Amino acid sequence: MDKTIVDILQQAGLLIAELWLLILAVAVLLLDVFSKRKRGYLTNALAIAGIIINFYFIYTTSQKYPIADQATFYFFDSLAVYRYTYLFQFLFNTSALLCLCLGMFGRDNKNVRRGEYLALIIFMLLGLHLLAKPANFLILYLAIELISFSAYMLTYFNLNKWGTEGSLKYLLFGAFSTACMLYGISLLYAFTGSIDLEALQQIVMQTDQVASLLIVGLILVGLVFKLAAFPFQGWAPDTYEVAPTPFVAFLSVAPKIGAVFIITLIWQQLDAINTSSQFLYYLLSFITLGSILFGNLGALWQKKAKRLLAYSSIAHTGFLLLPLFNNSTNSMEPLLFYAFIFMIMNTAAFAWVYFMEVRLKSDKIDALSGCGKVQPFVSVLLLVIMISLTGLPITAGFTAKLFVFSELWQSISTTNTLASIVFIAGLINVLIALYYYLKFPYTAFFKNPPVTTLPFVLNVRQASFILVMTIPLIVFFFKPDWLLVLIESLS
Amino acid sequence: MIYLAIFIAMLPMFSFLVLTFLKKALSQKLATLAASTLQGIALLGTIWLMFKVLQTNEPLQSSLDWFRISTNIFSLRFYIDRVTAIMFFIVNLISFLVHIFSLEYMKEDQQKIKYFAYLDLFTFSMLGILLTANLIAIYVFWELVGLSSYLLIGFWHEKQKARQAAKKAFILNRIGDAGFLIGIITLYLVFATLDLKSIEISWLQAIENNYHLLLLAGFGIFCGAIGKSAQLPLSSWLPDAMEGPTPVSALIHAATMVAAGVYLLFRCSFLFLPEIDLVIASVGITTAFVAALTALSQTDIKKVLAYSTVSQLGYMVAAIGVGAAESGMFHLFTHAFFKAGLFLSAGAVIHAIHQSAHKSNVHIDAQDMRFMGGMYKKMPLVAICFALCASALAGLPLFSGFLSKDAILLGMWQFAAQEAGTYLYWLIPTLGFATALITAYYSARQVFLVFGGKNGWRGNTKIWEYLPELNLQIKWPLIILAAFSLFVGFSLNPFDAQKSWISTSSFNLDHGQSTGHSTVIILSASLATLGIFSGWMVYQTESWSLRQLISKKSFVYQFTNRFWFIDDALVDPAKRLLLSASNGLAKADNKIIDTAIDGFAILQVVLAHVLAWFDKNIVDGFIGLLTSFTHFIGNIIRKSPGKQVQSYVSWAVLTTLLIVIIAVLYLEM
Amino acid sequence: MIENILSILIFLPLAALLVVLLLPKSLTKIIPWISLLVTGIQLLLVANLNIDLQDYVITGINTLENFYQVEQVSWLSLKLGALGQVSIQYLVGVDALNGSLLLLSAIVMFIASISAFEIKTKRKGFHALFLLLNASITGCFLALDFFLFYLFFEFMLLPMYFLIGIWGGKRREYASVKFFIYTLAGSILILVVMIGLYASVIDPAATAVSVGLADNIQEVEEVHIVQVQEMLLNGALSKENHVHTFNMLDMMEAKNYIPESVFFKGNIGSFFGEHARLVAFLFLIIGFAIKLPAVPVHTWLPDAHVEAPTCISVILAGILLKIGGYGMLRIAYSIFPEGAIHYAWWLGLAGVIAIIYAGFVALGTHNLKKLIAYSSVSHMGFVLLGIASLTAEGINGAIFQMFSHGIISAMLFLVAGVIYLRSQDLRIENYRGIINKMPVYSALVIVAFFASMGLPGFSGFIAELFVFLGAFKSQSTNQLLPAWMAISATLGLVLGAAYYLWTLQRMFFGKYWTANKGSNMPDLNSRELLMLLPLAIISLLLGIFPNLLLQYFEPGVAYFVDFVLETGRLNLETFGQNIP
Repeated sequence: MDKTIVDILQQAGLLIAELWLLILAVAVLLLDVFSKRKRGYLTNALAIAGIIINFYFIYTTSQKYPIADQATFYFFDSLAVYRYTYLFQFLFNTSALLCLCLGMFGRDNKNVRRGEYLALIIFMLLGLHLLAKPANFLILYLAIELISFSAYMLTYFNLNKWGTEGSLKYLLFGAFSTACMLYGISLLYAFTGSIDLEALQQIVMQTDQVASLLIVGLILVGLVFKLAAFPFQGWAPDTYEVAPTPFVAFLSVAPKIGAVFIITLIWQQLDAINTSSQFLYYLLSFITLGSILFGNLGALWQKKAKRLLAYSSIAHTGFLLLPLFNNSTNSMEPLLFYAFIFMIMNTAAFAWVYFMEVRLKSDKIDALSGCGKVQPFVSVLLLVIMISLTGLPITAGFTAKLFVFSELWQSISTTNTLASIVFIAGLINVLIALYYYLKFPYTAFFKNPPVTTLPFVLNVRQASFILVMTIPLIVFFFKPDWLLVLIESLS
Repeated sequence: MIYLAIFIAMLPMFSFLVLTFLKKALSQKLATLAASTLQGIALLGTIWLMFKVLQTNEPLQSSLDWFRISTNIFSLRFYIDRVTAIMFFIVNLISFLVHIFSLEYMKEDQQKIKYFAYLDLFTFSMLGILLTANLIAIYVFWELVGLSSYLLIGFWHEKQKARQAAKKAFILNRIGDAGFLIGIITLYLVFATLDLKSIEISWLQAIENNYHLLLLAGFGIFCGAIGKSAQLPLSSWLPDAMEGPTPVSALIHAATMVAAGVYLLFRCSFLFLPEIDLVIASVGITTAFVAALTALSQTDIKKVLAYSTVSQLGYMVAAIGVGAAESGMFHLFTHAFFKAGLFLSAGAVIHAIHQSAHKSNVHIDAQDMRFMGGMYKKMPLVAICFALCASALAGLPLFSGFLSKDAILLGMWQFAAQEAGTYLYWLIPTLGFATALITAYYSARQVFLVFGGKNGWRGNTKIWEYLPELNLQIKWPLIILAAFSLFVGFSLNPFDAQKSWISTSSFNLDHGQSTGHSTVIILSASLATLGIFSGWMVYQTESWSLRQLISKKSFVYQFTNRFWFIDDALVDPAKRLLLSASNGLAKADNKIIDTAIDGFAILQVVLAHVLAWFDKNIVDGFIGLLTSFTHFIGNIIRKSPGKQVQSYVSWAVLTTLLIVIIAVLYLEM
Repeated sequence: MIENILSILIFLPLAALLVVLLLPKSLTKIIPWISLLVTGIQLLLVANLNIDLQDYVITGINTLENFYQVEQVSWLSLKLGALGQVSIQYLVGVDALNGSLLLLSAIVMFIASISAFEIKTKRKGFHALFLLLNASITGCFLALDFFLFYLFFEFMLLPMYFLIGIWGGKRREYASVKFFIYTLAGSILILVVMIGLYASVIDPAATAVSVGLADNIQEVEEVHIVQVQEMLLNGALSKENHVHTFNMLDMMEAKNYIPESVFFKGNIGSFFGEHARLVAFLFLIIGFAIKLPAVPVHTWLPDAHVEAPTCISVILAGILLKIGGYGMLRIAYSIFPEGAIHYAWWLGLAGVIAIIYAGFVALGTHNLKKLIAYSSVSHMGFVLLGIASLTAEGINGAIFQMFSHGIISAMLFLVAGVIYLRSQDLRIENYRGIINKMPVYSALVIVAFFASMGLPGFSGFIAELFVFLGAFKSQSTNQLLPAWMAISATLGLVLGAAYYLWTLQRMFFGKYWTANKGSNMPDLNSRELLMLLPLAIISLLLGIFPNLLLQYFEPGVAYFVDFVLETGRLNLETFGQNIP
């Protein structure tokens, strides 16, 4: 028997989670094909169950192929297990799970193609799983493409012509950015004859600044696009606006975090040797500050909740990247903490929007008016979510921002004011953020609904979902160490 | 003993509290009577106290700690020497008389109780000033005096003029007090204490190295006096204060408020450096002269008295400036009686005319002297009292006023004499004498206009008939005061007070065998007589006339009559400036609000629009290049029935999956 | 003395909050009584606390032993990325700086809760928020851990925001949002410094444990702490062993700063041309100045006041503003004393400007509540001036002023509320001769006005006198403020008299007349009297016997001043800054 085949098969266990997802996807598709009139309950349930089971597979893999401080490589160095691989897989999985649960609340046309919808989400999750363990740019590229293509299709799933346009925009953008990335990778190959991530180190050491920066830049383009960070955030609002909301809740969290993970990987490669890092910091501050500013200002005058949240998520991307300024250590607790909290609060926010859509067929913020009088308790939950997104006590959003900024502070020194400028600018933006996040509770509590319409209310199931999403936001403020312990245990 | 004094001081406070909080419970008559009796008791106590103090030449004092900051202890020291005792007596006496007088005068007023309450508060705060010897404590009561005067002047607050007068009085005083406070603080800075005694002790060695600070302190304290004793330029509140009830004017002008300033200067006279002394003297004498001139042409019976008060206060202040502090104080004593007498008499007249006007429902200005005349026939006693007090004011020999004014003039004379070399200093005594002349003239004018001459009212007999008979409550206060305006009350020698019972080691009116004393006596006596004589010629016999001499239109007349346009030129513009400035600022502040917030907002709007534009044109433009393509693809997507896609995909996946599974199984076996 | 009295003070309202929330609809009418009860209990507890204080000289400030009462519980201890360990404590205590203010807040809260009976709509929500506000304010005054302080500080915003925004007047939305944005801007500046501080300060005791000098925190002794501090200075401690802390008292000790950290005083280099510590001080001061508020960041206050319901205005003016002044003393001055010296001149200037400028504006306003609001700004200017002078007199004056202004301004806003309740109109020129219609009320108004313009016999006078003394003395003792500041500040007295007397003349004296004929104006009812009289009495009492209050904080303040001046000068020398 061929040696290589044996190796491959021996190491196949590493991919067990991914394989499971593959099977799950197919199963979902088939179930959908054979059971028509069930209006997609079963399929949905199956998908959810499958993803829950997937947690177990992630766990087993983490047992079989334990993490180390240094990455360990498999499949002829095409895949690797990094310190945070499983943690990120866990994150993606949770996010997908939330997305699917949220989908259960839908009562509209998405049932028509429930199967494909679910399958595509699972495919996307599969891509994300791969994204958590790439050892070379080929895998990375494949993963990204897998994510992207399922995303393109999912965007179209409101099955109306806005959906078409949105997904097309998204597609074109994606095509453009991935092209850039591919070009970068090919250049890298041309220079070094390798497509491993380590190759970046060589390129930065050997070849001249320009080439290396060009390559790094081109590769970053693709990632930044996935991040929907400045300057490639343009697609996000349009796409989010037209895409089915539960999917948006997924799209606006998981791929972002994935991209951040990859960027951190690249960052560590580059930090290993400190040449040209100064330029990279300028680039980074450009990206972070850019997306924070653009996100906040873009959100300011939005009337529609979904667009507003789209812009706000752009801003949050900026905050997510802040810890990268601190090159002194490769510890990522603050970033991960932020990621977790961001996932929770963002999903919660989109859930709220989704419920509005389901009930009112619109996501105008004004539709909330009077809600505070009818449902004070639920509106308080909304308040908590928004406060958390802003980053004020007593919510985990504050703690997350506190950690991220503390991490950033480490890189502040009296000699290098760049970081300090980012620091202060970032905090000032909290102020602007308050301005628009406050719109939700403001409308809910202060505005009176037009007499003709009844104020918007949530039913018990919806309310309880929101509640479940909100509780951690409070708990993790008073007990952030619990979340940190979880992170610790997974990494 | 000292506790008796404190007790006496607390009595009015007590009745103030009672009147305020038991207003509902007490009947008006009872309440007012009670207040007056309490005041009477206070007076008796004071008399006893005074005699004790005068016998035993020992000042009474005691002190208790008030509060402390770090190491500095602020103590509250009570101190009573002869001067204080006498002031105590004067204040209580006049306050008592005013109480009695008011019983009748305010009979009709519904707010009577409040009125008496305020009177008591006023008395209390004045006594407080006298009693305490710690600048902070003095300042406390000083402000309280301001408050109660505010309340009393504005007592008839329905009258627009009264309201404004009250406000003016308080604010002008407040300006002075700000200076006073700065003075106090400066002293604290230098001496780390505010107890007058301890300051006096460590005064000399302090001078060398904080000369300038002490200048500031002296000036600050003088500012306080300027405000309270209505010196230029803060004097214009006093004439306006006439809007208050007449007995109140008597209290303010004679014993309490204006006296406070002079008393303060007297107490602090040791800490005025030569420069400050000069300032005080010149301000004082100027005020005296200017006010006297103004009094000349007043037609309102109370206005004349008001300006005369300002002028007399000028004398006292000047006296302190020229280093004859005791004389100034002495004049304060004498002045207190005759001025109170004058006011109460004037009050009696006004009261009477009011009533008759009321009965005969004729509408005339009850205070305009031009309508009066021949009142002697109707109310001889009042006339006599008024005349006596007026002669005291005029400084006729044999009257108390002569003694004190003579002492002051002598002081000025000596002051000028010391300062050999420049003759500018002679300006002070010169003005002093001039003022004496004018004073005599206008007091005569007033007496003759009101009481002398033929019947008043331009033959309007109605009023004449209805003039009521005055009752005792009005009469005998006048008598007492008139009695006190004779010389015997103060000194057995009608021409010189230096051997009088008041003058002692501690309070020294003794000017030794100084040159020019006789000159001064002769001068002042003759000037007084001259003034009165010309008054007689002009207003009684009307054999002289000023008509052609000076017309009412002329600038000089207006200038003097309107108190040198102090109000028009100084106070009102300042007021207007303040108001307009504040309005401007208020508007500006609103503007700031909007610009501050909206500026923030605008910035965001602009940026947001820029971004929107970016979104629309750049991003969509990028799409726009491929519009046709878009449509093409769009159609494809829209047409495609997802069926085949689904099955196709699932098939592809299945096959791949199968292969993998097989591979895995193979490996296991 | 009751155990954990401080925690009771903080958590009692929260407990009551739960009760209020769970209360069935049928019982809504007892809700006001609940908050009345709560504030009443708080008042009793604090009073009891202060009675205990009588025979006890508290200094506190930078040594936990000298605090009158302290409660310390470890809340969180995290391992955080590059930072190493972070410990957040629940640390509350009473000392010279906050004792009197605690009393103030208890009193004002009680009065406010009486006033809250006026609120008829959505009682439940109102009182829930009221209690929340109460808790966070109390916590803010007591917290000695920066994180805890910031938590309470921030959390005051939300209840306030809704209280103004829902129960406010016509332009309530605008006012509430403005209030929120302004104050948050301030607190973000504070947050910046907070992050910087805890990143650069370690808790020596906890570090001793983590290094292994002691097994647990109880066994740590003085020697260990000294040892740790030496090790820190020599860089003998590894990053992992650093236990970062939010404890303010640790932040006041220069030895606890990590040498390479930004706020280490020996650290060379500068931010925007200043040493990092000075910049930090500036940030803090600006942050608290917004709360105070000082000109020119005062503009949120008039709006907030004009729109807020009476009892909220009372709390806002009575307590919330004081947190600004208190924060300056407790945090800015104690942790960055050098800034206190370096920027004294500017602070003093800001104070004087506030006094005069706000006085002028008050004279020009036509709305009674606005006028009072501006007078508050002017009075808080005295606080700023007193603090800036950095003399015993000045700072005593500042604290005394905070207390007395708390009492008096509460009274003033209640007074305004009385009119507003009767005819929803506060324009001054729409009234005349109210005294004829409402004698008792007008009498109290006159008292309040004269008290506020600093008439001797009222607490305001003592406070302003101290401030003047301090500001004037500063020139000769520590050369921080020039004399002209104190002198020009006296203009504030005149202005105060001007605008109050003018208002009296326009609104209260003369023949009775009002623009809105419909409203009849009954005199005070017993409840309103019950609110106003105690305040008047307190102000009078403190005016005559200042020692009643002064004795509590006077010794502590003396200690505080020495501490700030000493360490401040020391640090400035290490920066090579010239010392005035």
